[in-house]
Amino acid sequence: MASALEYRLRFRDPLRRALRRLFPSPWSFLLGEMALFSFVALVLSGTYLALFYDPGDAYASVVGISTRVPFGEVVRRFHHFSAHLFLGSLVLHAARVYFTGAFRRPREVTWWIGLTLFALAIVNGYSGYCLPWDMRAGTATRMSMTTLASIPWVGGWLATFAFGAPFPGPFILGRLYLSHVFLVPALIAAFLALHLLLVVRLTHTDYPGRGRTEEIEVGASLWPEQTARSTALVFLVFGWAALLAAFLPVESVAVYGPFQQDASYPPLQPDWFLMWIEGAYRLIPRQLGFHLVGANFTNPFYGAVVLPLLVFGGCAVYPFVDARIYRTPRRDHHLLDHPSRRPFRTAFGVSGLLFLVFVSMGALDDRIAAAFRAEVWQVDVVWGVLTLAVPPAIFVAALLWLRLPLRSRGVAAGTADASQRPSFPL
Amino acid sequence: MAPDERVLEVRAPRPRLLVLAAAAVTVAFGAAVWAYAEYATRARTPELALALAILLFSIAVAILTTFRGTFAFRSVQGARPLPAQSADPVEMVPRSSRKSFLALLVAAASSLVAVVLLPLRSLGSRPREVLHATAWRRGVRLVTTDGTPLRLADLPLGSATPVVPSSSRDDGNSAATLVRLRGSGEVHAYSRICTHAGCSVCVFRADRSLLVCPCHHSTFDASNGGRILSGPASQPLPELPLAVDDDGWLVADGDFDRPIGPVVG
Repeated sequence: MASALEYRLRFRDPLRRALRRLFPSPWSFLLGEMALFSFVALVLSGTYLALFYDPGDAYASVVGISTRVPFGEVVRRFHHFSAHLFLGSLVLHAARVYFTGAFRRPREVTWWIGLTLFALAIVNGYSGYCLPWDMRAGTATRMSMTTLASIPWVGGWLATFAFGAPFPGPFILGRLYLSHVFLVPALIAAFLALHLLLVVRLTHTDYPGRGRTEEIEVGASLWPEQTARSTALVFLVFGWAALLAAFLPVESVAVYGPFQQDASYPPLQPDWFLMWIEGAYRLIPRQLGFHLVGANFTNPFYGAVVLPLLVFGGCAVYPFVDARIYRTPRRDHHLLDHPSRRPFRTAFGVSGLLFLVFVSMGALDDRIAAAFRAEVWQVDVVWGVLTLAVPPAIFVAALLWLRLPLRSRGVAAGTADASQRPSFPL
Repeated sequence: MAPDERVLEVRAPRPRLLVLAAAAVTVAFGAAVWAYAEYATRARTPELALALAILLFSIAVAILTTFRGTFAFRSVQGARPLPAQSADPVEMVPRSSRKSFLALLVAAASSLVAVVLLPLRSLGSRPREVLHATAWRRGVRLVTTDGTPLRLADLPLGSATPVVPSSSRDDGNSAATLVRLRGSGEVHAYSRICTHAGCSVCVFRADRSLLVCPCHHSTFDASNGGRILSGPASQPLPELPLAVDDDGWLVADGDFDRPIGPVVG
């Protein structure tokens, strides 16, 4: 049987080579795989949901999935929490890559593809919670139209092309649906494939340690060690999504009711991965707006276009900044840095993440105002100042602290590198 | 094993883990039975999801324990492949033929782009016609969302009523809020679409005559032409001029005094 197949497919040699690929053992190297498997979970559960979803009668069909389809609510929650796991593991994976310097030469392109994947994941998470067309979804969709329209000079055209009519118009749900279940997932799948291809071509990075050099990698083979680990991880990721589904409900649909322009609604917050944009929408003062050669520069443009461009653009050029700062030799870098050995990189990363957390907290301005019995605008002013002041202060503090000799922090020199034995999660 | 690989460390299999594996498989079957029973009787969501979670976790445990019970775990050294190649595969074709081929491709592609623009153009119409157009005209009645026309006397002091034009009740751009101020008793109608992000300005604070958008807390002065008091909106809330027709119903006296909706970039 196998030889009959081999005669026709000639797969044995490539397969043998593939099965001998080495995978390093530290657990943090599984974060990327977690993201991959939660994407698989999303595709599977999303396909099931699509069997019942109707963009022509979105709200009623989602209520139907939750109430009339046995197991439907389980799959809806599973899909929802798989999305959170997808984005969460992407954040952790990117952080691991950043803080250990895995983005260095020759992996800059892998890093860019990863950033693209992250942006696509955010976009699809967004369209995902627009689809139920409850009050929150409709409001979020309205804001996406505003975001498109806010782009100077071309925004009006972009918004009308995307929506095809005054908001909401007859096309929007069909288009959101198409992008959520086909266009963006297809792009994600394509970039994922490229990302994995590059990982295979360039091999894995690894922490410095016994037997590991820039020329020699150490790890367990794809077969059988990594196969066992990864297959188990598939079930762990799916299991986590199911466990979250068991204990946390997916809110909204029943709570907010169907979207109507004239209905009232309570203060809303988006999911955590969009709170930084929502926070910027609230914190950036209107006084920064101006008019220039027929174009308007307004708060939505700063919050939802400029800020994401700065964040993603900053991440994209960072490998070159890093190479400049540390005068990295122009050769391959397969061995990772310990974060404490790269003060600027670590301080910059920590304060950057802190900035995003602060901006995200801006989306809670109304809750903070309620807690302190203050006006929302007062909270916005105070929090806006803190958002601009605290992260840079933390940057300076972290830089100074990390630049102190290792001994004074109670860390014996050398422990950073020696502890990295390969370890199996059992 | 490939000739260039070297085993760095071998950890022997631990057969006693197979007991744990058997236990995990048993739990997995138990969880599956539970899920079936739950589905057949009540199909309650949390129980079903929990059964699923237990099933999936025990499969993961079964895989890991079976593997470590049966196989040795080997750490292997191998050469990192591929120094970058300097030879350019494109060079295999002479430069002159490459150039003319590329020129042809660019010409073909640009003609294609020109044609593709046409179906793109059908996606939407002119921004000004779509983004700011409303159905309010002089004499169009203000009606509630279920179609009831309104008289001045229907509006209590300090009230806010969502209204739409009687001529086209589903037009999202035309949604407005009819407020009657508590102090002066004046009646004003303002666009319900926030000039910041387009959310519904649905909160009316009668004590201070404020219209507030709960999305990002842009706050407008309902007693003073929708002036911005605080928040991220950069334009006042458009006001709809009002009149009373011969039968005493509230009607519009024209379109809003400024373009409705968020500022276009």
